[in-house]
Amino acid sequence: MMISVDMYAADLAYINCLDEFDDVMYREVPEYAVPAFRVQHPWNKLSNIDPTVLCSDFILVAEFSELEGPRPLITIPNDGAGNFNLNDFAVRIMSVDQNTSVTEGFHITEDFQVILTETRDNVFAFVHHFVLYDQQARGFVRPFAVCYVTADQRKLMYFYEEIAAQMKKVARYFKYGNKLVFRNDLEKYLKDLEFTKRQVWRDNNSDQCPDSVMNKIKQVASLSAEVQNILTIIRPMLTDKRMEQRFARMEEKAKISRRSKLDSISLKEWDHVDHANDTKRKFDIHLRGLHELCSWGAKDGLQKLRRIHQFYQRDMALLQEEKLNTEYLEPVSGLLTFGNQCLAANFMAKIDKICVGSVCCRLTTYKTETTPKFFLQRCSSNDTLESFKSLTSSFQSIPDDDSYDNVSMTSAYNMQMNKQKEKIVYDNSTLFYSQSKNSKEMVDSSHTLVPDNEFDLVDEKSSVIDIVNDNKLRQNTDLSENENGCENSDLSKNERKCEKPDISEIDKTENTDFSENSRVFESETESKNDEQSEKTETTNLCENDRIPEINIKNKSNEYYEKLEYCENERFSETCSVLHDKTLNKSSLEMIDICDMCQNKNKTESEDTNICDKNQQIMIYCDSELIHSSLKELKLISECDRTSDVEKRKMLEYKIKMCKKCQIQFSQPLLEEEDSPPSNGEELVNQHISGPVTCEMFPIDDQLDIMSSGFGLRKLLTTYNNMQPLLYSLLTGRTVLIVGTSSHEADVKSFVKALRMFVPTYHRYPHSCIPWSSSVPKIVDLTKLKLVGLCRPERKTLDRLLPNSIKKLVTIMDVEKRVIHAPSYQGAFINTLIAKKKVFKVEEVFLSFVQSGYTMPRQSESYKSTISTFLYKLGIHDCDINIVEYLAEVVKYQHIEDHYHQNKSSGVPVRPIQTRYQQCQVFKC
Amino acid sequence: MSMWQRLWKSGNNSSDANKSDEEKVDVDVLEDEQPYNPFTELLPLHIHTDIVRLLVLVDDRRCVSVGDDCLAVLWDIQLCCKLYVLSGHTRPITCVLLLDTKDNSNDWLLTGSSDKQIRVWDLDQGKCVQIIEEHNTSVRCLMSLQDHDIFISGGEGLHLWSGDGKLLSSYDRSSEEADISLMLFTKNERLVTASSKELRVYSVINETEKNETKEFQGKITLTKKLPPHREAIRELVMVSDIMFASGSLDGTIILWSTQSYLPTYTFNIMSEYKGKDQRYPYSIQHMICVEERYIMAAIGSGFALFDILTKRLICKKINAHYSKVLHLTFVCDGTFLATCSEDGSIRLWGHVPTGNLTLGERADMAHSIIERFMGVSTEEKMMYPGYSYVFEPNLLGECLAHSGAVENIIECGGDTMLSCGVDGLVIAWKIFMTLHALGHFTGRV
Repeated sequence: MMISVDMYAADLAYINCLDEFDDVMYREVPEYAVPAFRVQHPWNKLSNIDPTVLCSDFILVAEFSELEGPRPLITIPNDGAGNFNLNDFAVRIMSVDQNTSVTEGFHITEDFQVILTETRDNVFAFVHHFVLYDQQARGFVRPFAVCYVTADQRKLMYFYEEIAAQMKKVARYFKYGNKLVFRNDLEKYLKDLEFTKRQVWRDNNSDQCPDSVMNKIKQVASLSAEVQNILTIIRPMLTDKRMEQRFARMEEKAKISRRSKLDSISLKEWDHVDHANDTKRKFDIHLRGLHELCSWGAKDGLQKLRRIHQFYQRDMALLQEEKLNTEYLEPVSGLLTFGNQCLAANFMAKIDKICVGSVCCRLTTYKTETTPKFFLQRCSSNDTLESFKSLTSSFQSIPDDDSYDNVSMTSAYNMQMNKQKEKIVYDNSTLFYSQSKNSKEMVDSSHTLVPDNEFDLVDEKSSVIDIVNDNKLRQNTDLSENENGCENSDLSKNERKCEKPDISEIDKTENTDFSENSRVFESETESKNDEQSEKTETTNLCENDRIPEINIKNKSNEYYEKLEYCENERFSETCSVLHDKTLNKSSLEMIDICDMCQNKNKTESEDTNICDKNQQIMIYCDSELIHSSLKELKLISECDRTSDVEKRKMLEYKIKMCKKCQIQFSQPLLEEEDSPPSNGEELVNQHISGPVTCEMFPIDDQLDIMSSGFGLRKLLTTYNNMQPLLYSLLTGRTVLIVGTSSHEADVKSFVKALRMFVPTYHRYPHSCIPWSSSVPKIVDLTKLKLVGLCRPERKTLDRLLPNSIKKLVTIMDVEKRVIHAPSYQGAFINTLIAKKKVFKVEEVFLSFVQSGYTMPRQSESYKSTISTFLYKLGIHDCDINIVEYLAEVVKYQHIEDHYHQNKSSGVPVRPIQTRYQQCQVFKC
Repeated sequence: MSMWQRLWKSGNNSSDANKSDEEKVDVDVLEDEQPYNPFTELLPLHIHTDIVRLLVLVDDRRCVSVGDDCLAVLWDIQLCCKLYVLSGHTRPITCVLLLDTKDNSNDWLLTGSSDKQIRVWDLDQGKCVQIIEEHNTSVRCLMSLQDHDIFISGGEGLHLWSGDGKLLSSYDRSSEEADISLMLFTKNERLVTASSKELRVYSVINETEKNETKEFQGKITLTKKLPPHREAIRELVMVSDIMFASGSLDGTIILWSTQSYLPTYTFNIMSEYKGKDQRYPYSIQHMICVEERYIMAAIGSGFALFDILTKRLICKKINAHYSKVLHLTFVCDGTFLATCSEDGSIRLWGHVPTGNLTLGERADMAHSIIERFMGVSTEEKMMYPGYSYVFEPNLLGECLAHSGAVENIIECGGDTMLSCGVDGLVIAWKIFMTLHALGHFTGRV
């Protein structure tokens, strides 16, 4: 067998390759040439073809050594290059002549950036060349290059500006640190020369010096003149006080931690320790390493590189999707959340809201600079720990000091932004963390709920692996902001380990999409036979509670083709809509996505569903609403793990009737507009600054916080007439769930289940109290939205609640099974909970509800004027209130953030809406 | 039984009105649905820790609330957020006065307290700029003199101050028992003070020209004692240049001429004013004067509108609240009369729009506040001589949020009503133009 493997090795690669992409070709291969088995190489199928081919992106730091020529120095991550021939590549990138214009004496060489394409090897690199100065080097120069190497050319093209800017920044750290070191070296050298000169004079104190001595003195004099000359060039360049402070602070921190940790040595003291420790020096000549050359600049630069790598190494699809979607997530205060799982994005994020009051609106154009930075900053959480370790081992000239790296990273943050802003980054990460954790939890529970899945042990491996890869990919997006790195790596490890595919893994890829058409797609990928053909179950749940039709398609290809077709259609349509609205760039983005989606992993392609198509179009068409000065929001069902951000639903629109709203709205936004477009980072900071965002996604160690919404199905099936209750929650009317102490468990579970309807819950976790014995006061009602209230046995409900409170709240008496609430007459909630009987599993229903925060479409009315628009909306009287309330929530988030940013003494109070509705008693 | 008492009782068709228990009186009750109530948004402002007694409007945006917790809080009404907390007094603040400084653009606020201090605050910076301690006795009321840069403080003593807080003159009141609780300044440079049942008139002599110095010299001298009320005077209100009115615990409202300082007319004279258990069911808690012609008075747990010109009662509501009406004001340009009471509620009164006209349209047609409040047709009817129609307003809305007596209500900025109460809350009631409310105004619902 071994022989045959060798024999067919080349063919195998070829066939595997064909098998991947073309079934027809496969059949043309003679039968004898088809191997009897298939090598399972799931982690990277491409590597079957050529071991040298690039499997994942990495960053390479290379230098042109005067001793060895081009050589690779550091890769990020350490083993990132895989089998890739780094030496060859280093030669390739370093074989450029930087000093094209030869001038006399010392001069500063400018950086330059190159994009290298090796289409044959499918390797593309963004190379940033820069020169460091070394007093010990020939001509004082040490050419270096940092390059981002990827197999995906589009990444470099699409994110060219971002990568270029980031690289420049990295080089700046290196170079500035280097210049400081170089200056110090030269000054020291100058002193040495002076000393030598004096020494020579003193030694030859006679009147007539011998010629040799005179020559020596002349030599020294010319040397010192040259050094002086260089210093006059270097010194004026060292003006970046911020950078120096930053390095100084790092130095300070290192000094502090030095006492406890042996391996973190202050770099300034390095010189003394250096020579004793360094055993890896080559060719007997000391060529200083990057860290010695750049001092803290190297640390900073490498850190930044790690972040860049972490950000851009992800799949192009994700990057692009993220780029598209982050626009909608800005500003943070514009986010509308439901429970702790659902996120509605501000769809008009990039629209000049100052003009909202009037008719005109324009799209701002400086978005491209902001987004990646925003994310890069978010990426730099502790989960880069692994790459730290890998990196430090590649430092040949410095002891392992990753312990410091952790310290310095936070300090680096402090310097880049102020503390507040750092907090925000942190807090944002917790959002994603909680979500991911939650999804994990849900996966776990669904494991027990879906018992009858049969798997062949033999060959499902590959498909599972596919899934795992896919999950890994997704987790990278979801969890890249996750600050608990261990959690992340653990998860992926588990996945790799699992021999028998866990149902939960399958479940992860299972995509359940819902739209307002009530169309449900459930697709499960299961591998059932040796040929890895996947069976896809497509379940259509059509409108009006029809019994689910199940179409089983044996040929998965058909299914995918269908999906792809729809995707394309969808994207091209959105493109066309976008084209005249936004810049050409946006449409390019969309086209890119079209391309990309076709190439996507199969499981990935499931993510998009047909139902989405209409919505997408609708959403983009809605930008016409801008002209009617309407505000709309788009809901993303974030929790739905398979499709996370891709699934977004248009939720709401609203006219700001009162002029005060306009004033208040434009206040925080005015400032954003004021900042110059070029100053991208500042802009982002403004977007995300303010302590209120700390409140927004607080770290809550309560475990049950993760499971809000769980039990909703049970609640809805066991109790009737829940619409008024949900209506109250969605209109901001405080809901009291009252029960005696014997009902404590029930009440608590109700609160937990209903929490997902509280739009302010994310920002104020205290807006929901599962069990309380004190009656809320009027002041509390501004923030308290859902309270489980303990009623003493002897006190009746009427006596418990004062009249003033009773009129403002909705009461559910668990004991009597009675709801006292304003009645609901609308369509929204009814459609939302109409499906409760269709879903047997809690999670699926939850995802349905989450994705179902949609308003009934009234496309004609969009185009009409404001008043008719409202009038038409008036058909569903109560739904208007919901939309109004949600818009109010967003408005107040904006206002509060604005006030927190300005550190005003008082923050506007959130209003309590008293709609003076007729309350009715519903039996439930 | 006096004529006024009969008139007052005429709404109660029961012949044995005297015997009817107060517990059994019919007080209007509203359903949950309040289609005419425009204040659909309420914002509780919580800083005070004790009873909030007084609300004073600074300008369109700002308002000061003072309370028994010795604090004065400056609020931004539009955004409903606290601007400054003015703390410094050691005893409850009893009165506030906004002082216009001619030379200074800053807004000054004077607060008088029972800690015998008057503090001057800069409202733009939220700082205390001056502490005046020469008052030496508890301060009950403050008043600024029009056209002069001086102010007067009353209480146990009576003092005249220059605008920069310099004591100009003080009147020795050691012989008098009761503190001055109310003050009024008439056009002809006379000061009217009320202490218990008594009304006194003082002259504030301007001595500037006499001394031929630029410094203002003032001196308070007693010029006249007016005939006393039967009970303690509860409200003193300026009607016009030639007339002011005083209302007392027994329910009597006396109109005084500022020329002769003699009573020109007396409304609402009750013969058995003390009522059951000396509850004074007709006591005047608050009076406002509208258009120099009408006096709206909070009488007992109801209110009444008197026309000075025709000397008639033209509108009344006897049992407007379950308990005494503490304060009343017109809101929404007179579309509603808002009354607040010890029972913790704020009620909105007006007329139910009839015919095709909605409230908004009807309000547009009216010329004056009273017309808007009573409806144009009512006004017209009322103008017929000899017509004894008394308008009884309808309960149009109830704002219920305070958990105790509501001490004060003011309207500010056209779309906001502020209320304060013994629960330490200041509540901003906003007209939130919901589509629902909008519907009533536009007639779409």
